[in-house]
Amino acid sequence: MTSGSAAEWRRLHPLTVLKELGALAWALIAVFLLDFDTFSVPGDFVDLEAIGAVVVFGYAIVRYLFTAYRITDRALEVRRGVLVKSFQSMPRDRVQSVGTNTGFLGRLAGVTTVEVSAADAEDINLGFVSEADAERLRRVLERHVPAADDGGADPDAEDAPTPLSALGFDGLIRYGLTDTAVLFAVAALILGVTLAIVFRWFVAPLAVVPVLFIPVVGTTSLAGFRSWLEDGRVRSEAGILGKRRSEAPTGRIQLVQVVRPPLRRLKGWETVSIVTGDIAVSNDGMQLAGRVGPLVPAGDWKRLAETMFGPVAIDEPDLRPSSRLTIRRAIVRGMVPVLALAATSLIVASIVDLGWWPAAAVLVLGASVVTIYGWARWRALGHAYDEHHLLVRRGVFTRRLVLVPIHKVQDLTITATFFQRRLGLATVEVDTAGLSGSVLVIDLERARAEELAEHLASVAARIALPDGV
Amino acid sequence: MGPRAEVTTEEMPLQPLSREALTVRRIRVAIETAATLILIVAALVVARRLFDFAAPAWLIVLGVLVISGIAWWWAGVDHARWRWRLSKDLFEVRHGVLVHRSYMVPRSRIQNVTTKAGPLQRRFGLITLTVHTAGARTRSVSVEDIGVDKASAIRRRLDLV
Repeated sequence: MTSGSAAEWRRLHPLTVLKELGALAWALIAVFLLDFDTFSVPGDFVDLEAIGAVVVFGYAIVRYLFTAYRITDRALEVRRGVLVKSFQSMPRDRVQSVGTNTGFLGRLAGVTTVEVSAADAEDINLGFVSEADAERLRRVLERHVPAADDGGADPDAEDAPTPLSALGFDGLIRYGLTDTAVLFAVAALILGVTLAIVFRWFVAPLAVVPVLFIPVVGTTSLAGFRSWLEDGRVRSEAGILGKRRSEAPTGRIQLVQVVRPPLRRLKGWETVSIVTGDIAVSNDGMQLAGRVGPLVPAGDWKRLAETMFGPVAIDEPDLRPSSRLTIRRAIVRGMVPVLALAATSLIVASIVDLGWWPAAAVLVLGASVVTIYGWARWRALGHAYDEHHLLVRRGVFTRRLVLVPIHKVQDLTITATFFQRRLGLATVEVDTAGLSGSVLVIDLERARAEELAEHLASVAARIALPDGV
Repeated sequence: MGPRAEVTTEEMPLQPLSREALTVRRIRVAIETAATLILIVAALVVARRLFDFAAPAWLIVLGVLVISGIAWWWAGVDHARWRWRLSKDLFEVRHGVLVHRSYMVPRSRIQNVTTKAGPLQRRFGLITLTVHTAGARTRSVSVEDIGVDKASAIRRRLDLV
């Protein structure tokens, strides 16, 4: 594959026909369901189903033949379509990452799907291509990428990949067992078994199977996970049957997100991910998405962050709390449903002649739960910043920690609702080009909120980024 | 924090919107009121002709006028809250009556600036100026009904950087 301006158009791997057939499966099913033979032509016996099938097969082959890609000096170009023609072009200097996604059968056949992403939501998926072609595409496309242009990894360390994290078999089991979805699954299981015993409703536990399915599938997709730093890029791969590779230039990382679901926090573990403007890396729905440390000891995020973008001077002990008045806000907000519930129980109790005590119980219990929650929420809220980074923590049950390199800040919003203003509070929202993970510094005193926003804005303003991202 | 002084540069204080902006907002309220009244009168006429339904028309008209009065007053309150400023480092916009919001966009993060003006705005020499960033959440910050001369001054100054 030469990168001359008159680069050759290349076809995908012939097995792509099978993929096209998959996309046309509805047509095949329709052909057989409609059962055309019932209107068979008088006299002649024509097997219309066979003709239909041949047409669909033929269309798949033609679609395959009409799909081609090439890499010119400036862009990756793809053309597709028989009737409706489409043409996609992605400038090579906008390419952020080249990932691959290989299914189980694809792995047997030696073919894979290449996913080329820029910072926008429109990726180019090339599938299938042979593994050798995929590797070649990756090498050619990455050569033009300005990797790590601002404080990324040391460019001299190019050839030596630095391992970031790996997930062994026991780690995988621990990851699965501490997933929040597992908590729900266990609760559903208990409910199902109870229903089966109490109401002799024996199908109930079966209904739980789909709930168990999600954490199991999510976890297995991380089997064999490892992440490492190479050529100024964070790379990761995972999967036993199929295999998925993903990558992001360190210079494009918008923020680092640390998530500690309740069970994981109890056991002293956390999950560390990076967030970029690339939808393939930052989509929360995908398990591999942005993961650099699926299960690492709590606090390990700092080592990972420093490996990716140099020294980070702030840490969790530096976090400063939000205003204590936030507890009052949480209590006031929480008391609204509690009061509604108390009023309802007062009415219900008076109908069945139980008096006022159920309402009082609801009120006392509700008020204490709300108060404890408000206090725990305040304890969780914290923020710290210096000239280079902002660290924000929140979350009562699932604790979240976000580290933002300040030069990635795009804009800031200080919000003060009517209730916040009465207490002299404000919330700062920090916006980056990262597609997930909100950065909210909640309920600071007005002056501190302004000080924080102005600090972040002035630092960001002083650092010009090559294309603003 | 040391760098604070750099941002709150004294070169431009926060700018309010002009009186024309308030006029435009009130004209919008008047137009909306007129349109609503016409629709309601039409509906009442149709209802009477077809279904012999006589609604207390004066009550409905009074209701519309009261709501419009509130909208008239609200336009003034909202107008008074708008502020904008272009300093050395930042583009800032503040507005909101119930929820106060202030947006800060570092100038080096501005991707592009767009303007848009309806017929009413043009009649009064006003325009809506929007500053776009690559931010994934806020994406853009607008000043509604800013003077055309001010908008073009902002665009000129942003182009210089």
